[in-house]
Amino acid sequence: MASTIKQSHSPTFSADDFKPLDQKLDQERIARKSMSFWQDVFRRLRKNPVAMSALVFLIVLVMMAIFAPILSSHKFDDLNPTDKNLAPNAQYWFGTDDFGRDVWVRVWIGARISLFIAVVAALIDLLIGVFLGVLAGYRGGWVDNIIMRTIEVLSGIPWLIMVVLLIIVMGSGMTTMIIALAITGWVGMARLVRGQVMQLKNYEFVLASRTLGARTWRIMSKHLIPNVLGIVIVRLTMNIPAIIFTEAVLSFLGLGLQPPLASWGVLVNDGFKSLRTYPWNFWFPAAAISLTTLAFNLLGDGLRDAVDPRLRK
Amino acid sequence: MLRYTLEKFLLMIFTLFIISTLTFFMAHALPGGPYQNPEKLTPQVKALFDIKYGLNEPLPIQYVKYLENLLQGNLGYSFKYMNQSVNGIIAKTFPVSAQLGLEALLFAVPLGLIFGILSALFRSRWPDYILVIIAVLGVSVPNFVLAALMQYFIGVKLQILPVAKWGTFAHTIMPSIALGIGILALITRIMRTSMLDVLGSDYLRTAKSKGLSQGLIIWRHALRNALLPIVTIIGVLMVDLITGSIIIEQIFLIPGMGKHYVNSINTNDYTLIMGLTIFYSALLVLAIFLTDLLYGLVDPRIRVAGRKE
Repeated sequence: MASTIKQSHSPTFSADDFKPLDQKLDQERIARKSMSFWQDVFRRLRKNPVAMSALVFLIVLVMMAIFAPILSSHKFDDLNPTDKNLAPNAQYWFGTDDFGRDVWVRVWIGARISLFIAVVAALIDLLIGVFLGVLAGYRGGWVDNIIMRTIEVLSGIPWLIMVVLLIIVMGSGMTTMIIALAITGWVGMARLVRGQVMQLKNYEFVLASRTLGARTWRIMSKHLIPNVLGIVIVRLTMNIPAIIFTEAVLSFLGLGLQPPLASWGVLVNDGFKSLRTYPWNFWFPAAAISLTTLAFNLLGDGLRDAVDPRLRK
Repeated sequence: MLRYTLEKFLLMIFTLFIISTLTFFMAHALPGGPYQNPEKLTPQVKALFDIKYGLNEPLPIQYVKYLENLLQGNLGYSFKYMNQSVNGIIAKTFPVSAQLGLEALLFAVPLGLIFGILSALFRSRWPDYILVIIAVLGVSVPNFVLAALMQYFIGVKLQILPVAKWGTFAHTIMPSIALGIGILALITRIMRTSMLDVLGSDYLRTAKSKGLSQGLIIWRHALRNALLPIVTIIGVLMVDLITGSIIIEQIFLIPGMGKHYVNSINTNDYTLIMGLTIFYSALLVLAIFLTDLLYGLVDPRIRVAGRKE
């Protein structure tokens, strides 16, 4: 440039020189559609064959729980005194129990009840845990102190003992079981969320939002909760099998649902009594619990990697 | 460190106090009285029993007396087992449960650590895959299913080990394995993650670039740092052992604390339920206290920052 100016003392400019450059706007455009966080998670999850098989298994399980009892010609509480303790056969696919009830239908009815209890209790845990965790982590101070002390005291009681006490006091049944499981289960979730929120609240986007005058509840609901949701969902997936297990244990201790209602825990307990003579009464519900727990754990592992790929090990 | 310890100690006492109070009022809210056939008792006899167990006094006074007794380590008398103190029952049954728990730990912890380390060292090769599968199965298969599987195949079909009951060492093998598998799997998973973290760290690269041998790097630098997170799960292990023993003892008919706990529930034995609940909680709270102390010892950042998580 400098040399051209020296050579020509009277520069001539054409009108063309002042035309704006032909900006290639297309170059700057992001060709790919932007993905939401959950689309991204699902895209990563889809590449994980183990987690996807677990997901498919769980979907099939839920469908079976809904439709298998409807489609079967037997009812879960039909008593057939002539068909007692039959081995699996063409008419009774999983055999029959002590009262001649069809184990196939009972396993799927059990799936309904066990999954229902587990999902509802886990969701209540999630709501309480996220609310208290965000509150404690964001507000800090005395609010945090009270919530954390409560958590510390609660985690000093072994959860099974606590659930047992609650059920003895309130009487056994589906509602009390869900309440007892929910009262004890939120502690871990609240701890997890609190830890996350304590990190998040120091980030610039929270500061920016606060500077712009956002109120506490808005920061919580628009910024903090969406950001912990990923890890919370992972935890939820891991909590569900834990609750299924607890429900089974409670039935094992004689604190479960009352017959003829059949959760997986009740079935396992009934089956265990006749394990030596009619083992299929035990194996089918036991396999159902084990496989479901396995599927939830595998899905949880996959989700964790998908939600936060840095954690992948 | 002293302040930190004191703080944790006070928290432990406070937690125990809350738990005892909760337990007391919950036990008194139980439906159905403590007597097995109350309709068969004449009012006079019932009044005598009430006096014997201190049930004739108003609730607040009962509560104060209960706390007084508790401070002296006295958990009262069982309703069901005539003239047996709860302390006596615990003294008789706790060693059984403790033996079961210790055997489970002795087999699960070292094996879990080794599995975790191997799995991390052989990352993404077949030993890793096998160990990860074992760990996932160990976490997923409920201990009562595993216990029943072993009982049926090893005990009943093959008759290698006794099916149930307690006595010789052979009796302890299956229950310990059933109790320990979950712990083994948990430790394998944690150790693997932690070891992978450490193996990717800068100070390990430094150690390697100094020319240290592979064995020395792993033994002196990687292992010691990777063991840290294990300290944090002592409390979790205690919970696993307690809940696990309650189920396993029921399945294998082991005369330990868990079995008596279930019995006390089924017979409405107030004092025994309360006593065992408090004893279990004390065990757990003590384990949490020890975790905090150990963690403060091995990681100076914790005790300086106090209770920041």
